[in-house]
Amino acid sequence: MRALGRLARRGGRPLPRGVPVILLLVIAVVLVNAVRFPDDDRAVHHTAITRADTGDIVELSLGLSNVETTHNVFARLGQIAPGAVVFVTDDGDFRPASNVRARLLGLGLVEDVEVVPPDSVPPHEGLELGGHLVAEGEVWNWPGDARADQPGATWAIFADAGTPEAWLFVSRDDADPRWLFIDTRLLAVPVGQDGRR
Amino acid sequence: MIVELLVMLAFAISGALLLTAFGFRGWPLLPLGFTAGVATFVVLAFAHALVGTPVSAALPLVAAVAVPGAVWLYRLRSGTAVIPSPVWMVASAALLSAAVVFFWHANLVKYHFDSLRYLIAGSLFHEGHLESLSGNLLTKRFSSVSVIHSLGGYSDGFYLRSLTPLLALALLGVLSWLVFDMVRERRSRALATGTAGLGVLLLVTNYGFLWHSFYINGHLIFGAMFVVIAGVGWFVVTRPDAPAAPALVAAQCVAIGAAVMSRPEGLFLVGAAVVPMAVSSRVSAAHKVAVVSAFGASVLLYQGFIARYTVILGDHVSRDTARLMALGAGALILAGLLALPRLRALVERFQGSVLWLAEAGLWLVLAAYWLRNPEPLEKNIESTIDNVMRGTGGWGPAVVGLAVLVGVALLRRFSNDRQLRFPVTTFLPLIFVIAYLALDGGFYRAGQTGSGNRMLMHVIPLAVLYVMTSAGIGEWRWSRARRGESDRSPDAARVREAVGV
Repeated sequence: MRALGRLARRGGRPLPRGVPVILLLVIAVVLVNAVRFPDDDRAVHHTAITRADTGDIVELSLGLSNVETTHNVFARLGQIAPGAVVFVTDDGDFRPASNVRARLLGLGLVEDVEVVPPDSVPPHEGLELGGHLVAEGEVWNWPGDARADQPGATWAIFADAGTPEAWLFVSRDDADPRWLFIDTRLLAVPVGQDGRR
Repeated sequence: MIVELLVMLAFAISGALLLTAFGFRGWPLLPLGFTAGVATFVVLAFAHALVGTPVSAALPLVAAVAVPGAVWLYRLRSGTAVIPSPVWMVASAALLSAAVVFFWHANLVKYHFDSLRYLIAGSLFHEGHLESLSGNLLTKRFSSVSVIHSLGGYSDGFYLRSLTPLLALALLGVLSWLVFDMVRERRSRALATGTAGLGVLLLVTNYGFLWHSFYINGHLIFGAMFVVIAGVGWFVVTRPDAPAAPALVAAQCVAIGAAVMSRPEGLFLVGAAVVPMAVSSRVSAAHKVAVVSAFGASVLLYQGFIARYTVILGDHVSRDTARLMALGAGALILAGLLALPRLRALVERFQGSVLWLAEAGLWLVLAAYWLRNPEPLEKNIESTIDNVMRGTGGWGPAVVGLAVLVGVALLRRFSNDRQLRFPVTTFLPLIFVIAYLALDGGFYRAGQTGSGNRMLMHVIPLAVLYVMTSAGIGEWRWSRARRGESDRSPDAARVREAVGV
């Protein structure tokens, strides 16, 4: 500590008491941090995503040839091609919905897209929107559909009753499912309980 | 990569023009200039998004260079602007270019679901289709992250690969400059070098900081701006001989704008940094009016943008947006009132009490919420403990270690320490109160990408600055030898003269 004090004092004014103590504490914290780092589980991974690899977004836009740009997939669902299927989940089944509804300033519990197992959402309450959505182009449907084995994304839309958001489920070839939010008020037809036919 | 290189150079040139227009020079011009340039672009991008039809991401970038450039030219003619040395310009351009090339090729990035939503909003901005924003994207995801990364659309990517790491490096540069310069002036060069170096090490050995340095989100942007707002503001007030104080105040003002527009909760945290400046007798009238006006104008701009596009989307402006707009307008009125000497003197007379009451009031509000509904706070405390002590948040031991250091720093005092301390110590109660306000009974979840966990990044760089400054120039509160030194310091009068903005 004296050596540290001498070094720090070199060429300057006398050090007030406590400076070496607090500097040693900082050094201790730095060393503890460094010893604990790197950690295999917490390392910065080399996740090289480029535009082409941002599959959740790009594959959708590629799959919807009528949609000029990526964002339109999310914002202008009214342009989705005929054959689009909207699945309505049961109330309470999709818990993040209530959190989204409750958010005021964006601090809500936005669940990671990966944490909601696709299996937890029953797809049986499908809502065919095809006749109401004006668009052209090809759309991949829910797995099991005749076109499900085509390359690219499979997708479906989930809407929770009473929530102005829908979830777009995207399954890629690498079986890496993603959920994406959509503002259902922008849909050409209402979805959710009120929109069931 | 060429587009990205040009964008980063434009950011640096923008900030350098802004700072040199007011006489700032020296090596911090690159890190502070880069940060200020990013902030200037964000503010102009939001201003353009509010009034511009059609919207284009390129226009605010051009304006971010042209507007400070015009100010620089104007002030150069009056002899108050400076021209950086050719060596500095060439070296800075080379260094920045090398860093862009490196980070572009390394292509290190972290992202999660929210990141993609920011990029979607950015894509809309880039393509001039903001009317296609969903309500959720508008209020929660259209932010500084969106507008900055929207420039990636001019190349072949959704985002700028080098932006976040470069901003992290700039933050380290600004932080080490503040610590080094202050400690060197008050103590010695050797101690200044040691404290500044340790401050850098304290951040770079923090895994969360590294993670955020590659993460597409607004937390590191906010953290960098927060250091400029509170740290540079403190520097101006504490170092009356600070070079080109008006330049630093200008940097503060644009950083306030960028921070407010970085996160929905940003305005509350920025408010915690602005309040100590607004009530301090050490801060000149012009400086006070500048930062409070910048705060009010930024809140109005951000909320005004949300209000305008809410109407365009065919919805009604929410009560919360209206309230926040009123808050911004109120801040502008307050800025005007602070120009009145009598009112300013009255506020300054109670400066200590105001801050004490504000901090105690926050805890009381939190206690009141807890009494009414204990679960959210208990869950938030639990998730925070999980995040920082049990490894769930990915911080390792870094946050706990830093919290201990902040605790020790609180036992020490230094000139105008309130300005650095207040935003740090009010952070925790503030985000817990915000949780009650924003989540309506919900709570932050544990996990690296949980919003409560991510928000820790807002305050960590400032906390490091506070700790290292306290280490370098502080003294124990119970020390008699220098008690009252700060009160006897002639800083205030000299600062008023020096700032003169």
